[in-house]
Amino acid sequence: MLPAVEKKKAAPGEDILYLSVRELGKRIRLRQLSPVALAESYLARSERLNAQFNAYATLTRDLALEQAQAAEKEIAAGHYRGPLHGIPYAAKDLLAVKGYPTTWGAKPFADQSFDYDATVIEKLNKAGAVLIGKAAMIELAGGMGYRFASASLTGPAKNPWNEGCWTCGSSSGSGAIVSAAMAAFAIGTETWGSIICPSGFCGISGLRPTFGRVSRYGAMALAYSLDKIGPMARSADDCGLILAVLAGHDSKDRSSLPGDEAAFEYGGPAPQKLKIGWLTNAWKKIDPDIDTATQGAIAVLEKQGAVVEDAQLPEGPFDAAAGTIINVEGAAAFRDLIESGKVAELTDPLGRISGYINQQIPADDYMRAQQLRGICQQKMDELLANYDVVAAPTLPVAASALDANIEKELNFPDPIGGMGNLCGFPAISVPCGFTSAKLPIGILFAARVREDAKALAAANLYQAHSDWHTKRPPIS
Amino acid sequence: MRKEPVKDGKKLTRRDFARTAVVAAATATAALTPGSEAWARHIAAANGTPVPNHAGADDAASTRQAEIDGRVADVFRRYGDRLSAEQKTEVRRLAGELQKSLDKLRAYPLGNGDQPATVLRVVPDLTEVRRAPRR
Repeated sequence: MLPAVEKKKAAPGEDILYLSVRELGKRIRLRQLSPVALAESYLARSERLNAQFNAYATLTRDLALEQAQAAEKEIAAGHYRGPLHGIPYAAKDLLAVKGYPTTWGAKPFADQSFDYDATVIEKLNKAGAVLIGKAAMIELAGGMGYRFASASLTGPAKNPWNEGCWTCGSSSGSGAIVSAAMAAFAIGTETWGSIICPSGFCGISGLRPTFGRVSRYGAMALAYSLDKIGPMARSADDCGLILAVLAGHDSKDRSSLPGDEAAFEYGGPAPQKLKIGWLTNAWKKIDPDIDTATQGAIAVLEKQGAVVEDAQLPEGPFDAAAGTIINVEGAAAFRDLIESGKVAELTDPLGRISGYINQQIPADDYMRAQQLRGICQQKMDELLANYDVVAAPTLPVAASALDANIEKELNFPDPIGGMGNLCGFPAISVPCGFTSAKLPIGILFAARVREDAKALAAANLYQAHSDWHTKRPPIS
Repeated sequence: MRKEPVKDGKKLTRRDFARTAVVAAATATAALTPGSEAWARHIAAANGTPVPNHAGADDAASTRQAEIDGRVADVFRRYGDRLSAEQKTEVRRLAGELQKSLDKLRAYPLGNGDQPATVLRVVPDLTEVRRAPRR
């Protein structure tokens, strides 16, 4: 029998679904909030809103209630596992979850399932988190290229701030789910831009951790030397809590960092005096609303004692190097799909043929890209060593129209994304305002490899003195 | 002993030499004698560097086009029966885009000592070997 306090709990209202992981965890720990009732509320909201946003590939109702009931019993018995215990979340549909489809967002894999859990799912299970569902995504995480938001088995993910706009990809469902409070947090992945861009477009906080810090075992491989898994949540603080659970060495992932370098302990927000490099050459052209909002964000940090200096990214063909590596590794990862001709089943016209061309990239050009990667790492580390973080607008534009041709609308050089992923250093995007069209604007903080804590510290400091991350989209 | 080819006072690498050989085979436009104007033009083309005279520019363009055409031909040889006319046109366009990207990579000076950021772990961590992910 549950204690008296449990009986008094009413079903949580929708306001509660917008609370941070930290606050939800606190209420669960104090037994003011029932994990079962919370899971039921997120499930009901997700079932109601999913068709509106195309955010989920699969809802895992049975598993969610089973996990929530287990959490409730354990907590009632005095066994509290930590801040994710009883917290509902969504996992991008390229992470293996035993007993459920894992479609990689692509028709050729629509019936695929695995008989084991990805390492990150195992870790979240151990932390007592509650899986609400598998988040929709761009087919093969964009590994075969795509031109339209519709490049997904589940259709285009719609932006909760404006359903006529896209969420960005490839963690498209994860962005919509967090933004629309269909789960407390989501797990995304990034090879180039797939956590950072949806976080920016959807007005949420998303962390791309240092490469090798989070195991990819059981995750679809797109580019073996670039893929990363990270949290997407309502605040930087939540991202820190989640990363502390996800991080750690895993012998099943060849790129996993050694134990002491992979582990991440998170102490929560703490006052810091930061030295910030403001990147003046991150984007060639910036939307005026975005420029104003991000300059305002930097002013907030300066007011809190941060020292801000102009900084410049190194020049070089590093975008091209990152693109070459992705294309070659993607063509290798999906060789069977390409050679069998099943690639023709993909939704996007570009995805159906680009693999054929990517197979043609000469080996010496791939090695040249890897040589450039070494040079880029050295140059970026020299730059980042001068600062706690570097900062820039997450993107130079706000969310694109749902039917836009991405090749045309989002076709601009992305050196901070290219170099960040090429070198594997961490970055976080947090919301810092809205355009005149009421679309979210993000600011990005990046730090040296393994200094995820510094990126989080900058974002935490900003969010302690701003409230953009608490804004809610106009969902009817 | 054979003298190594020199361009602008800089020794050519084996890679330059190999690329030039490929270019020569592909285009077969001129006798490539080290030190000759044709040789210099082909090296410049292979490196993606600007060529000062009009004839050189033509050669560079034809070299690039030969590389693009070679890729397109190989795609069509392997997969042509699966592709519509529209897709074949798109393959040609993508091959051109790919070439632009490769040109950028090749224009950056790299030396023999610039190690690639690839890693071989000679002592793999085998403490917890599990089966590879399968469908």
